[in-house]
Amino acid sequence: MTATYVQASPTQGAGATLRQHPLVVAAVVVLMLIIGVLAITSQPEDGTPLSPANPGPDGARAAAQILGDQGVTVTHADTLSGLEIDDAAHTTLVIASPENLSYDQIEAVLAYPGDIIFLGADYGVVDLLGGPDATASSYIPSQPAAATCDDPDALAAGTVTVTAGVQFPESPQTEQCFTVDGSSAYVAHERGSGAEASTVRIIASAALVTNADLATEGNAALALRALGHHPHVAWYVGSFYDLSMPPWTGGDGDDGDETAAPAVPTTSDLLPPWFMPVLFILGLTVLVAAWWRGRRFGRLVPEPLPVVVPGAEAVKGRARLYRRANAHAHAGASLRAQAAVRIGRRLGVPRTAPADALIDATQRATGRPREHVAALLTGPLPHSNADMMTLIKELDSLESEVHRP
Amino acid sequence: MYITGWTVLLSALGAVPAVWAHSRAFAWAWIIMVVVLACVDAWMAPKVTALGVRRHLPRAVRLTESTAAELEVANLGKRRMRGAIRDAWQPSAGADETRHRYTLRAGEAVRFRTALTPTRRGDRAADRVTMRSEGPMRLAGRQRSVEVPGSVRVLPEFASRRHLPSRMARLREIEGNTAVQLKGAGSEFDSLREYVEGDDVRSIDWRASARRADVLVKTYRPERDRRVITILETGRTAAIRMGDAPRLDASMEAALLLTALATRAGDRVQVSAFDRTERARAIGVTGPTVMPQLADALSTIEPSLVEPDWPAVVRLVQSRVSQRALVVVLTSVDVTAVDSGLVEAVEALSRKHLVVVGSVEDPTEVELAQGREDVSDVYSAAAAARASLERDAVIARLRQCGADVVTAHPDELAPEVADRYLALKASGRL
Repeated sequence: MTATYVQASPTQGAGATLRQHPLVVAAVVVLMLIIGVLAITSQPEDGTPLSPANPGPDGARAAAQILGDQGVTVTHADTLSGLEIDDAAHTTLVIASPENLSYDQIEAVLAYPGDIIFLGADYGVVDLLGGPDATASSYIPSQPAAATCDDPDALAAGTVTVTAGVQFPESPQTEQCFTVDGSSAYVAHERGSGAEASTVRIIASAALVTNADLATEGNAALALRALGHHPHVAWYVGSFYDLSMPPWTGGDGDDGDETAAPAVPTTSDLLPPWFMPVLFILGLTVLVAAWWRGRRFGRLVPEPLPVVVPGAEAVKGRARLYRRANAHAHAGASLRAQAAVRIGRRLGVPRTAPADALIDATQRATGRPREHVAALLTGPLPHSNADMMTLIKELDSLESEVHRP
Repeated sequence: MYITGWTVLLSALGAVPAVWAHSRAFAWAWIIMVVVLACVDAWMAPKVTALGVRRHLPRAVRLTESTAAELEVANLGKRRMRGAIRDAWQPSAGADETRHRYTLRAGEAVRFRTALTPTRRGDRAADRVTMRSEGPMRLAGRQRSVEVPGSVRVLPEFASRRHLPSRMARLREIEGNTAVQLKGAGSEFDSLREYVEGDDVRSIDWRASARRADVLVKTYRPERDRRVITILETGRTAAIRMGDAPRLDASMEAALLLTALATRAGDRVQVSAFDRTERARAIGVTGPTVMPQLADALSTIEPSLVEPDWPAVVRLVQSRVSQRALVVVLTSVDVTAVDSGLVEAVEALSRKHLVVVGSVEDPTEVELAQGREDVSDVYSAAAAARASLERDAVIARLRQCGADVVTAHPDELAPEVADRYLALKASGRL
């Protein structure tokens, strides 16, 4: 063999390739710098409404920051079980969006010994606090309303924007303010007595705490005064996905035993602690396996395909035309002519011979009456599909008789 | 770069320590470690450029038969190399096992055989050779593909060669018998021999007998050195499927069988594949080299979607032969032959030559013609009957022009055409 070996040409080094494309390198470097800067500077965006970390119009970061500037520490919990409260007497529990919580969870929240503020009108809360006569209306056309009560916070605020309200039965413990059509935007409910006394406040028009509306009317005054009663605020935003219970549920209820374990664990707590890391490593292994299988051992080889023309296309097309036009006469004529040609060929009658010659020959070969043969071969053409079927059947049987010696 | 299954196994093994580690950070660390190890291994693998490959290919193979393409791989570098190599072929080459593992010390070479069973006629080309070189930890390696041109010519199947022995026997019969019993069967004077009882007295050559004491008879043999021109039409209708193969294949079988037979009968054969231009030809050779040359010429022909240029066919035949010849036109006769100029061409050729038109019958149409199940079947049968009548009319016109027409199923065309050739030869009409 004189043929020389074929070898793969050596590739350029990575450095040489990079030097050939300085613009691409510069672009990549700039892009990476931008990404890096963005990654460092930008916080993960919190889009949850009423969240103290959400800077958007429906968030409550403004209120939380003002509270922080005034010396109130605001802690934000993601789950009910994650609420860490050391001193219930000096901590306000803020439950935003209570409508996302289950009845049991609200009941457990209400077991909190200190002050509670609900941001939002929720039937569960209203029901548990005010009894069956209390109601909540989640939507009221936005309008300003004056405080019409004796609550000092409400009086300080003067006027606030009302967008939702609750209605409690009259009782000495309940102060209902900013009432529009019987629904109050703000309710302060005293409970307990003596050292265990605490207040549950419902800011039914939760919109007045949001960044967008905090500055209008007396919203800020009401929100900040209500939230700032104590030096600590534990802020929790209700979520459908949170099934946990607050930590004090496992304790005696009113003595503030916050260290007890949650009674209902979250889903991930049900699994052994090693499960998630192992699952994670196996998931990454799947990615590695995808790389292993996904790397082709050479490219796919294309096949130049030949033209495929199915047979008898013209015949099939003509058959469809016959059928669509119901051309039974035409089709019958074709079938009869073909049968005549075949019979003639078998009996040695030339194609050019007159029809009578063929009829005579057929009559002799089959012994059928002459009129019968003549009707079949030269008679009237079929008038319907059924006629055509009969004709073809009879032609076939005539032809098969000619077959016989 | 590529990674092996060992890398995947290693990353999966990370699940064991993860049971105690209890942290997602550990999982990340493990996987990153595995990937870094794989990268290091690929970096440490010998360069693929150290491998040299060359092909040792068979020149040609008959369709449906198997052959083996050999690929020689040599380690031209200084390090021991280990890995795999893929000798890729296009799908219709029918390569069964294209991946081969190798371990080569420096300077060593090895040959891999890739069995090929082609499924289509023509030149079947090899694609790139992809080489992998594994790293010392067997976790990953380097991969490169390189063009190593090569192709195997796949010759027509010539399935009709099974008809050849019986036709050869018939040919010998014609050649041997004509001298003794049939005066009219060959027309060419062969030799004189002594009279034996049973010879036709009319074949006694009295003049020669007078010069010698014995009674001598003239012996004849069929004409030899006649010209047979086969025109293989490769136009639009050649692409139509007759059964599972295009019409061209049936025509090609007929051309091959006729050529094989006529060559042994001592005639000079020319084959020309034609649509608007000449696609392939086999002329000017005689003896045992005819068949290989013809098979080679026909192997790469594909039907082209154009209308055949019949006047050009006439000019081609006229330019190729001056004396009377047998012209076999392999095409498919249908009603369009009237417009396409086939009839005129056959008429023109018949003035000087003996023309045989070999036409393939469409089995689908035959099947449709027998449908009797329901109304739509009968309409199909009627359409098929109409097509058949029209074709019969065209065939009748061709016969009026003086041509002989052979129509047969795709499998039957080759023996039918061969039989017609033998009949012409026996009757001395060539």
